[in-house]
Amino acid sequence: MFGQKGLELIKELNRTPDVLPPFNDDVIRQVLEEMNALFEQNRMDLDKEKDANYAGVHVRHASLERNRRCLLAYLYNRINKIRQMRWEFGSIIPPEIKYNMCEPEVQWFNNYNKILATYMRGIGNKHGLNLTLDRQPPKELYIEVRCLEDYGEYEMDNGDVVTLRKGNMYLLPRGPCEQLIRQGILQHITD
Amino acid sequence: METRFKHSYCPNYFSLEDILATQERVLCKVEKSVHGLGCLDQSTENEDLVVGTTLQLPFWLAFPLSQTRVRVVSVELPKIYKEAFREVLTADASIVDLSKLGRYFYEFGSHLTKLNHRDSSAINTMLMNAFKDRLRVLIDWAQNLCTDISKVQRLDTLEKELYLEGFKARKELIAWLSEGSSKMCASEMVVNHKKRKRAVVDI
Amino acid sequence: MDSSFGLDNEVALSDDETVTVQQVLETLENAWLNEKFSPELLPHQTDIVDCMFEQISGMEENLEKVDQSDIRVEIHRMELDRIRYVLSSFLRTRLEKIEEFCTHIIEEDSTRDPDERYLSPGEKKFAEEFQNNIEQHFERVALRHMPLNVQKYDRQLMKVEPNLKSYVFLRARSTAEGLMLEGMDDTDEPLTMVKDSQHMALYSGVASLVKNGTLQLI
Repeated sequence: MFGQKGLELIKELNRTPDVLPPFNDDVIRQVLEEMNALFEQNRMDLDKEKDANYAGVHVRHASLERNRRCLLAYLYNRINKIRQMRWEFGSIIPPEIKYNMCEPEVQWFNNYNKILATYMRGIGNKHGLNLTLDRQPPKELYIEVRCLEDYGEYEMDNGDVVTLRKGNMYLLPRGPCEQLIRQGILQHITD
Repeated sequence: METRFKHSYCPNYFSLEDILATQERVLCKVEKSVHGLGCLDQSTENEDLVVGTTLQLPFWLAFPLSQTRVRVVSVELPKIYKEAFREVLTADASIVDLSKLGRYFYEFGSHLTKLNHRDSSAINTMLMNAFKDRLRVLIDWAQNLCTDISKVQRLDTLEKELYLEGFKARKELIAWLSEGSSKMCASEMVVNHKKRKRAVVDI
Repeated sequence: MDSSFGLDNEVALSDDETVTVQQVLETLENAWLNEKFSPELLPHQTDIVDCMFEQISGMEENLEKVDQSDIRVEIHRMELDRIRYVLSSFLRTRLEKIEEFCTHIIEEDSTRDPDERYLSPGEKKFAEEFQNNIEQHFERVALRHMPLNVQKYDRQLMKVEPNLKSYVFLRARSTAEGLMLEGMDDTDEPLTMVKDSQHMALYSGVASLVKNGTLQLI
């Protein structure tokens, strides 16, 4: 049956919805090979005579379309995950994840970064607004946090510098902490 | 935690579920011989697909072949969408184990109605009613924390997703009612990523 | 320090319209709710957004000048944070929709008059660049290696469209009479939605009423 390799790519993504698996160069190449083989067969059939193997041409064409759909869906869904990473991890992707991305995907991410930054800079008549912050309705001005990893010096908006050491607790303004909490460096204590 | 914009279920060209749903097989009868593609029928050594052969084909292939100007194959409805089984579902849809019969029951059923079979509208009605019946049970489970795994396993893929959504919504509501929405958390992706890192290091 | 925190200040929204900042904020909040619950992208509110920004800057400047130990400073800072949250959330939701339904939105907007467009100039640029980024990626990694007859990126086939048939909760901001919604036929009586009553409806039937302000999504 045609389209099996394409299906493999889809199943791979479906199996692990939370993780970006390594870019499957190998299977992609096999899908493209099958597509080109199908096309060649069709071309030969059509060259021979009109209406020759009408049915066969249709079968192969449907398989071509199917393979294309599987391949593009694979790329599209991966890009979606990568896009999400800009909002969850920030503008720098952890190396372990980057390892699973192919070069074009890394470039896509860098481009996306630029496009997003340009847009954010122009908000409010060139005032600029970082949309990756303020993800939750603010309830208080200062929050208690525990530091989960050694981070070192952190400069806040008002110019104050605080040294974040693993295990220590701090009472800090909400705004500057948000980014670090999302990245898992600080932990918000509420009880 | 503010979630990303969520829109209602609407499969598109890139939807993984839709691609998998159209992989479901249907029984087809060959009406125009297909040269050189006998390999599609694994039960024969023939080089060509001969007229009259019956074989299982995935829907994504069967459908276009049934719609060609000169029909290449004719498609038969799968058993679970035929009248006899429709009656079972109409009687009591909630007891049926969809995970065994059709993991993409609703999507595949909807695709089948495109064949314009004389049963198409009956299938549509059946799908809607079965969904309504089973949804009632689903909502009940999600609200009352059904922990019986065997029951949840009898759901098809769409229902499982709905159930998980309901479960999550309930959790979020309880969290909001008790501690308010002000606690900030690490993003889910970050948490999962760290867990995996630790797991790798532990090995 | 102005105890009303500047919310009663008047601003000129356009040549013939002056409203208070409080009213602008309310309009922004309503637009935010509509955008959150609507399945499609709604017309942009750049006037309101820009206006709100000006106000926030002004208020922030005022706060800097005041004695920082005054408890009211904290409260006003919080108010500013909350306004900024609404702005952020509003623009973020729009951006997510633009990313999801890129091709569809660009196409639709190109058929509209310039002053009826749904995308703001900044969003339009973002959308076009985003669309390019994806198409080029497909081209580079897959399409150019494919056989000639399927190499082209087929926008119509691959368009992702919003589901306008989703159901939404809404409230009537003013009494609306004589409504004929989608799904009703000629024998049905026209509906009346009384002011402040709440309903659930198919979005495609009420979309125009949401956009003209008669109904508010909740």
